[in-house]
Order: sequence, then structure tokens, then C-alpha cells
Amino acid sequence: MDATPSPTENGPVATLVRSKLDPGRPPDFAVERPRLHRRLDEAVRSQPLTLVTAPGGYGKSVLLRQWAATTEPVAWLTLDPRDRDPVRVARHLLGALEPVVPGVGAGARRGGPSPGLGDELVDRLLDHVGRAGRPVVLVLEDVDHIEATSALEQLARLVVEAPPDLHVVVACRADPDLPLARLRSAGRLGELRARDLTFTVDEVGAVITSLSGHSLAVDEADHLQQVTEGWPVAVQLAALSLRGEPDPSDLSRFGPGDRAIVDYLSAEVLARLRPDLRAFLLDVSVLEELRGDLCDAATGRTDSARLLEDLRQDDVFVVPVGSPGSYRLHRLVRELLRLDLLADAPERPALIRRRAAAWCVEHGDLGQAADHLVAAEAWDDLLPLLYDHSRTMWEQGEMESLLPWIEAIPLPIRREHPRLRLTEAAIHLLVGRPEATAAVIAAMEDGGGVTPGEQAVADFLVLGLVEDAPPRPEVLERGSRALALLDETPDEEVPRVIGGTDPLSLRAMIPVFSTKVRLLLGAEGTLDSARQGADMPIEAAPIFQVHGHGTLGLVEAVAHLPGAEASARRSIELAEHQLGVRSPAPATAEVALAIVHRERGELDLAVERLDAAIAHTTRWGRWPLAGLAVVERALVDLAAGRPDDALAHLARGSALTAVPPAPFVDDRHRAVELLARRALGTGDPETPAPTRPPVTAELALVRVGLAVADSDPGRARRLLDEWPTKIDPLGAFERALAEALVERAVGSVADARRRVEALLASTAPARLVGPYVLGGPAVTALLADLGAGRPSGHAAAVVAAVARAGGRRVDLADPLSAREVEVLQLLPTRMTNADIAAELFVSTNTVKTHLKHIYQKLGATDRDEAVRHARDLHLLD
Amino acid sequence: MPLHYEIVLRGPLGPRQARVVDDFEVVSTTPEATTIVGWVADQSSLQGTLRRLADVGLDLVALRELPGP
Repeated sequence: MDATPSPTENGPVATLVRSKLDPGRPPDFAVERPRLHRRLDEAVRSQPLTLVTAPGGYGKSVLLRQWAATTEPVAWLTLDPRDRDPVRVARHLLGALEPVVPGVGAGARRGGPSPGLGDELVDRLLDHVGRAGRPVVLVLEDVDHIEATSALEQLARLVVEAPPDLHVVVACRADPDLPLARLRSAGRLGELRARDLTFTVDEVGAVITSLSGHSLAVDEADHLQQVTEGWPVAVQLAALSLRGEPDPSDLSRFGPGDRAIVDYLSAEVLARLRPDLRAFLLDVSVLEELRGDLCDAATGRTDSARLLEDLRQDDVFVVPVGSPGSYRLHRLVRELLRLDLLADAPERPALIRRRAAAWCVEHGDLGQAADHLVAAEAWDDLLPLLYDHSRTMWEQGEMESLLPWIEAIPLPIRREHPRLRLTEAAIHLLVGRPEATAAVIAAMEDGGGVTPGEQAVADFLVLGLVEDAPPRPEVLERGSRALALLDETPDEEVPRVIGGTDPLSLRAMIPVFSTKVRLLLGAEGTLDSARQGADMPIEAAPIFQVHGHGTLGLVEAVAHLPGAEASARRSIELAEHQLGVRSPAPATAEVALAIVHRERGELDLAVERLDAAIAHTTRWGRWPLAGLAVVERALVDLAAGRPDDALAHLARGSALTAVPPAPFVDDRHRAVELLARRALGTGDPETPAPTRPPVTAELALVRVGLAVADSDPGRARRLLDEWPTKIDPLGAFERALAEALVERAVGSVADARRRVEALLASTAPARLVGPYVLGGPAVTALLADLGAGRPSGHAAAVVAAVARAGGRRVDLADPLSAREVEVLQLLPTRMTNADIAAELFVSTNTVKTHLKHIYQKLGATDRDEAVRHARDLHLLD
Repeated sequence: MPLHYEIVLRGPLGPRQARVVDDFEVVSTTPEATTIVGWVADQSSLQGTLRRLADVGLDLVALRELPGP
């Protein structure tokens, strides 16, 4: 159910996209305005942001197109109402910049987790533009359409942090929500406003001559300028009205600043148009974008392309928008025409919209089709479109658009269609608004009359809320009920919601969601449930396989099982091959892999995975997993001997969301906090007694370990008796380690040793040292009993890991010689043995002998491991 | 709770421009300004009306909420 970008490279959709990225030729009739070109040139030379802002009819579009044609190179993007979806804005922005900043879009589709115009993409743009080595001018037209969207917030960052070579020109009708006052006072804002864009007397004369062929006397031009106040659209309409009737005195009926002038003049000019052109203009005033084929379909004509061409050559009514044959109506004129059409033929706009929608569906532009149907209030046509194509819309990144379409449908109509309500609930779930999902489903269930198939989907969605919010135990029953309903009523129709709720998919995903519920609640049977979840039919969609294997990997990682890495990697590889990077689906596997890395002492690799997972999950509102990832990040800090950083990360995790932490995450949080505070000596948050019993074995182990370290075997034993769950594969390791600690504390040294030897045998093959860290400082003493003298090999690595987490150094049983330390210092450099020999003025064989001793003393089998252990022991930085 | 508003626009209105606010009552028209009064459902409805007036080229001079009926 996550997104797979499926770019449409050709066809009308691509043409419409190209027309957004190409200013096209300025209209032939347009008068050059060199004074404004100079202002723009100067503004982009000295300021990062230039605002061109004025109401309709001030000639912003024409001016910028003329200027862009003389300025090289310019990246151009015309925004439209559908760009409220930041995914679209991001895609178009990269497309616009690519010709000017080659390589800026390369790999963006597979490079990062950004589902839209996020920080990451802005960083990338700033970086690429900064390195382009030449000025880059980015023109954003009609920014009003993205007012109050996250895309505009990110554009603000782009402008505020712009490198010296980036200049953004923003054209809009109302001042956008950018930090204008701040930029203005810092001298970083260039502005062209309505008063700058009005025509001067000379320009009025030039426009009249260009459009009507007549020359005005200076006083006539002066009068017209006063009457219109230089308002460009009024001057142009006046010029057109003068074509047939060259008497400028006719304009004397208007007073200065009379805004009705455009109403009268446009009516006059329209009345004098050829009847076919007039009828055509009235019809297409409904449409935002005009193309011959689309207009033919919408109006029922066959000559639209020719009419558009006639209008372009002749008049100010249509404005070319980039690719040949694409136009839009002059906005102000369009509004007036629409009012005319509505008065003449009230039913016609909806009819034209419905026909245009049908054309858009046929040509693959589903988003545009839905917009037309919403505008036409054609709900009966909209519903099947939403059902049939919601999956595709989702995959095309139209996610943010889906909800407004549904919410545009009046509530009584929505209530009559359970499938629509379920779709609405599913979208809320997918975009991380769990309370909205729950509310929609509750309303639907309260309404009654829910069929078994609908109930199964509703149960599935409620269970799926585990992705967004901590679960309650009751939801497990919903999962069982959904599976039972599917089994008991096999012939029942199951509504398809976003293409992902067929019986096969429900059967595949219910065990996966149930596994997460169990894990987050610390319930029993998690591993069995996870295995069942990953063992889904081969026909199940790739996205489900990604979830299934990722969840199994996470459970295996928590249980320190050897299969964890393979399961997690399988999930991540599937996601890379089958899904787009915008999908948050592999984040579960990322966290699983991070746990595996941390437990092997590969802390850098763990951080890398966790940072990716945190970015993915927070952006998509996957709070339980985000919470776990942040706590894991803190655990990495702790393992690296940085308990203060660990506490800082924990604080960050708590501040992440208002959603309360799931019990499993909260337990790990407490576990890390206890150990970090112990290492820092900043007081024990659980003195005198724990505030609540543990849900997970991890927290129980930490408490036992600290009691043993405090030489309080009585408390340790009591804590062991209050162990949270029965012995399950999850928590078995922690239970055994806790028992060993207690046994040693009460003097059963031989029992403790046997138990520890078994544990070491289980963790040695994968070289896991992480699981012991939660045992705390008491583990060191426990391992010291093994064999004569100090521990070596895997046991030594465990001791070092535990000591490092406690912020202490450990001395080697057999310290390195001075020469060996010198060799050790060179190991992280990737120098060859021969290089090292040359550096130290010894033979290669001598180096090999030193290496052999170093490996022995550090309990390492190769160079990488020696470096890692040496770092654990603080012998290397 | 509908809201009662007075809107003052610059200059007279053209016939089509007037249609944008045909549920308002025109209380005065001078060469300088047109004053209309009417009811809107809420703030969103008011903002929408103001935007449509701007879309047909009209300038806003004044706006005030009137006491209820």
C-alpha cells in the first residue's frame, strides 16, 4: 500500500508536466518592458528572493516569460492546485532544475527516504546548486496554489539558506507565507509589486499600437493611463475595443480607478468576436488547462485546436503555457466568462467537467479527472474512479490529494458508502493519522448494517493501527475475528480498499500486524506469530512480503537469533527492487538490522541504519517504530560509552510525539536510562523501588543486574521471581543471564559458570556482545570466573563491551608491547603490511609477528576485529 | 452561526462582477465606491467571497462585521 513511483514518460500527462516546466514563448502582442527587465536583472544579481506579487491582470506571467526568454539559464516551474501534494512539488522541482543543474535529480528516486519536499531534498538542492559554480535562477509561478502546505515551508528554507548562486523568483497574487519581513530588513528581498507593474503612459501608447494598430495622442494615452491606473488587463482590453471603433473618447465614461472597466470592455470585446470563438471561450472558461484534444472532448467540438490558435494570434484571451498547443485563459477574463456561462447555461459547466474528466481518465491523468468531478459535484462518477484507481493514485504520489477528494463528498453521501468510508480510514492510516482512522471506523460501525466483508476490512485496519499508535490487547481479537469472518463466509464480497484488502492480502498481513501488537505489548507467542507472518503465500503483494520479513527480522533480532540479519536483508532487498524509496515499509527491517549491528559491536553501521529508520518513521507518523529506533539509538550511545548522549537521545524520543510509548518501547527506554544514569553516577530513578513491574525481559534483566552490582542478592532474587513473562524464545537469553548473575551473587559459582558458558557458546558464532550490555557492570565479575586468569576471546570482547558501556577501561591480561601499540595505531589506516613495515623500518615478517601477537592479546581473528576490540578497550580512538 | 458583513469595494461594479455577490444587497453606489451587505456562513465563506471578488479584479476598501439582525 506504499508508493511505487511509476513515471509516465510520454503522453498527455507528460505534456502537461512539461508545460509546467517550460515558460514557452511570450505572446506576440506583448510589449517589451525594459525598465522591469532591468529591475529583475538587478534583483536576481543581488538578492536570493525576488517577489513578483500583484492581483490578477497585472501582467506578471507575460513579464516573467519575456524576461526568462532573455535570461540564461532559468529553471521554471508553474504550480497548480494539485501541487498541494509535496511529492508532486518535489518531483517537478527536480525536473525544473535538472537542465540547469545537471545531476540534481539523479538518484533522487532511489537515493533517500524523502516522501516529498523534505529537509533531505532541500539539503540536496542547496548542495548541488552551491556546487554548480554559476548562478541558478529558479522561477516559481502561481505560488498561491501551495499556500499553507509543507512544500511552501520547505521552499522558505531553500530561500533563507540559499547559497550565493541561487536566486528564486516567486510570482503570486497574494504575498506568500515566506519570511518576507526578515528577508526585507536583511536586504535580501527584491520586490516587484502592483505599483511597479502598472503601465506608464508610454507603455499604454505602445500597447494600444501593438494590439489595435492605432496611435494615440499623448493626452489620449495619458487619459487612458489615468482611467485604467495603468492596470495592464484594462489597457489591453481597451486596445482591443479600439480595434473596431477607433474612438478613445468612448472611454471617458469611466472614472479613474474604475474596476468595472474590465467587465464592460471584456463584454464589448467578446460581443464582437466571431460567434464560434465566443461560444468556445464560454465553454472552455470552465477548464484550467486548454489543449485542442481535451477541449474537443469537453465541448463536443472538433475544431478546438484551430480556435485556440486563432485566439492566440489575435487576442489577449489565451496565454500559451510552455509546450506547443497548450494554453490557459487569462485569469481575470476567465472568471468573468465563467460568470457569463453560469448565467446562460447553469448545467453546462458540470457537463463540460464530466466530459473533461472522462478524457483525463482515458489519457491516464486520474488526478485531473478527480478534480474535474469534484468541481462538477459528480459524486456518482467520482466514487468508481476513486475505487478503481486509488491504488494507482497512491502509487503516483497523489496520496495527499486523495483525502481532499473524499472529504469534498458531502457526509450523508459518504455515510451511504461503506467502501468509501473504509478507503478514507485506510488513507488516514497510511499517512499516520490513527485517531482519524479509528474515528471513521467507529462511526461506520455505529451506523450499523456492516456486512461481514466490510467488518473484516474494518478489523484489519484497526489492527493495522499498530503501525501508528501503541496497541491495546483487544485488537488481537479483531485480527482473529477478521480471519474467522473470511473463513466462515468465503463467498462474501470483501471491499477492495486502495487495491490492498482482498482476502489473500488480509490473510497475509493480519499475522504480521498481530506480531507487532504482541511485540509492543510484550505478549507471549511473538516469535511463532512472526514466523507465521513471514510465511505468506508467494502471490501476496511485495509490500506485504517486505513487512512480513522485516517484522520477523525485528523479532529475531530482539531474541538474538541468528536468522535476524537474513530476514531483515531480505525485506530491505525486496523493498529496493519492488518498491520506491518513498515507502516506509522497510523501516522495520532497518531497525532489526541496526539491532544486529549493535549487538556485534558495529556501532557505526547501527547508527547509519537507525538514522534512516528514524527519518522514515517520523515522516510517516509510524510512532511506535520511531520510538523504538530512537531508544535503540540511545542504546548505541550507551554501548559506545557515551551515557550522556544516550540520555539526550532518550529525551528526544520522548519529545518526538504526543502518542504515548508502547510498553515494549517504554521498557527499553527505562532500561537504557537506568544504565546510563548508573554510568554517570547521577542517581537512580528507581530508588527506592521500581515504579512499575517490567513488561519485557530486558528491563527485568537491567534491574536484576543493578541489584547484583549493589551487592543486594535478596532484591535480585525477588526481581527474578517477578519476571514478566513465561520463558519464551524472546527473553530467554535475558532470563538465563539474570539467573547466572543471581546464582553467582548467592555463591552458586559453578552453576553460574555453566550457564554463562552456554550463553557464550550461543553468542560466539555471531560474535554478539550487545546482549550482555543490559546485564550491566555485574557481568564483568561473572565472566572473570571463567577459566584461570582473565577472560579471552569472545568472553574478553563481552567484558570490554560491558565495561565500555559502563564508561570504564579494561586492561588486557597480557598488555601490548610498545612496538605492538605502534603497529596497532596503523591498522585502521588500510596500509598494507609492507607499508607498515616501511613506515616502522622493519621487515614485513616482523610486522606479521607483531600482528599475530596483537590478535592473540585482543582475542581477534582478523585485522577489522582487532581494530574493533582495540576501540572497545580504548586502545584506539 | 451566520455572520453579517458590510463590504466596501472601490468604484462601481460591472454586471458580471456584481454576480459574484448576488446574494448581497447593494446599499450604495458612487463613482468612488460600492457598498454591499450580506450574510456569510462563517469565516471560510467570507474568505472565499473576498477571493472571488479579487479574482474578477475588484479592490477592497473596507470590511466590517455588522451586528446581528
